[in-house]
Amino acid sequence: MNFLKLFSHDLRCGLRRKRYLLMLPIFALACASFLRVVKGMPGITWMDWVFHLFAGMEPPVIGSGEAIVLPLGFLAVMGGALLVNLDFLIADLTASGQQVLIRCGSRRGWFLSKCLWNLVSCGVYFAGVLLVAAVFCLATGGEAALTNTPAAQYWEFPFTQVRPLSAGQCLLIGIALPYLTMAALSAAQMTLCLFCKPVLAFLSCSGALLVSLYFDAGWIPGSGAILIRTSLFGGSVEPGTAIFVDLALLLGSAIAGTIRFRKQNILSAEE
Amino acid sequence: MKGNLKSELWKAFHNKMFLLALAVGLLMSAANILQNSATVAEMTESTLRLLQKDPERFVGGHGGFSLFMLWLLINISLGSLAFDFYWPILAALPYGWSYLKERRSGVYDQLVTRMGKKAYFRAKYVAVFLSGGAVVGGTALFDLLVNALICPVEMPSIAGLPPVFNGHFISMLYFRNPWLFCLAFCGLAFLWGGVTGTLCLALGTLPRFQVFVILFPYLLYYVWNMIYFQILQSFGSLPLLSPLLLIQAAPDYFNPGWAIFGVMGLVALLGSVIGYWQVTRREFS
Repeated sequence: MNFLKLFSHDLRCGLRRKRYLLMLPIFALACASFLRVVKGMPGITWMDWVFHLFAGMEPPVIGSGEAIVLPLGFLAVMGGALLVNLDFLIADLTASGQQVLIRCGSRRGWFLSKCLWNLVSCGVYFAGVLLVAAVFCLATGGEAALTNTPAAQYWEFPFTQVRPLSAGQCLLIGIALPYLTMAALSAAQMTLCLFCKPVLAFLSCSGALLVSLYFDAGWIPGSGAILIRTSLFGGSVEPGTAIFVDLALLLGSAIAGTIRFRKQNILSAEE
Repeated sequence: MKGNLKSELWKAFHNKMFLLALAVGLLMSAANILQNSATVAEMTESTLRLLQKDPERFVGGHGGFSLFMLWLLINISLGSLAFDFYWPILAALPYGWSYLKERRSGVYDQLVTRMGKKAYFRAKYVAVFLSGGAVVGGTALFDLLVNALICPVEMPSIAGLPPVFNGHFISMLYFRNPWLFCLAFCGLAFLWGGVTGTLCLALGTLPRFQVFVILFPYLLYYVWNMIYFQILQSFGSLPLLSPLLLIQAAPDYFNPGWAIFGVMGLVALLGSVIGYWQVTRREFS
């Protein structure tokens, strides 16, 4: 079995799952909290909806005693990707998946195929998020534009220096960075599944999101997706640093996973 | 019944997942304690500076800033934030997955032929309840006791801007006997952990992997929380009805006793009725 055949098998089995559709109501719930902003504000664009989902929260003042209100929509969208991709690798180590692994002839190829599948899966998931945002935008009479409306961001984040961004900048922090962060965390989770229990892998990666919300530092994996903290809005997270961290995490996960999987006992996997 | 329960309890408290859940809970507590020790050191230093500068005007104490503001279920440190966010996983992790595993491995069939489905369910329910409660309640109690070694213990005062206010459950007790208040919330955390763990039984054998059984209560509470905040947005003012946040001793919204015990009762009902149906009415695998 060559690599392409293996990869297409992974795509066929991994992408035809109902759970992508099950996540759509969750995206809708995350979008619904933006409706109160849209109500009294004309000219809201599709990018504003995307910004609402991936804005995260302003950095909390640690030790001030002020309550921290976690962005539930952001955590649901980002954490949902981890949940959707959580069991694909372990599922393919049990039952008929073991037959495929034996026939593919190369453990490295098998794991790299899973890494590529993870990128595609996150892409499909992300497309679902963008689609729901587009539906909400059109249903509320918004414009399908790639630029932002600063007033909409100011309404949600009054302490941030919001400003109009170009389409390229919006695509960078609204689409590219959240997708890369999502894919990197998901890849890290997949690799961690080889080292520990899947629930611990989920807790670690979803915990990274929580830590990145709590501390204001660009090097924490997960902070790349918090677009309200990027330097384009006067925050401390440089998009370049976030891209570097995400790519390093993606690459590191692929290398660590490949090395680990070479010595993995494939008969010990439990359902 | 006694023998079954004894063996279930032994299994619940002597497995790796129980230790793992305890370790994760203690890690969250440790994060809270570390952050608190830094805060207290800073506070002590500034108090000493004040004392040296103007000893006559120094009235003593920390102005109400004490253990009762820094405890896991009240504080807003990273550790307490993680605990408030992930405690349903801690409740399900020790033994919530056992029913699925026993069904998959065939142990269920062996046990049921010897003790009957109802006795099996009763023993399993009690074991899952106690193990989940022990981890969640135990973490809260551990954090309280260890923090008591580090943080100053002062009676909370209104002047110190306490996090507990009128409308919070047993708020009067917080100002009269804060130790009792904290212990009462440790007890509540135990109950929340217990009823949340038993929710795993309601899922039965639906998922293929035990990880989804463990994550089920967390996901249910998370979606419940999102829906609650949507409703709150429409109504403006509502008591706290989200189980994910009801474990907190000082949430941002008022949490009357009827809301706490009403939601807890509903969760317990869901876990026990659907769980009973799953375990006793469904066919052998």
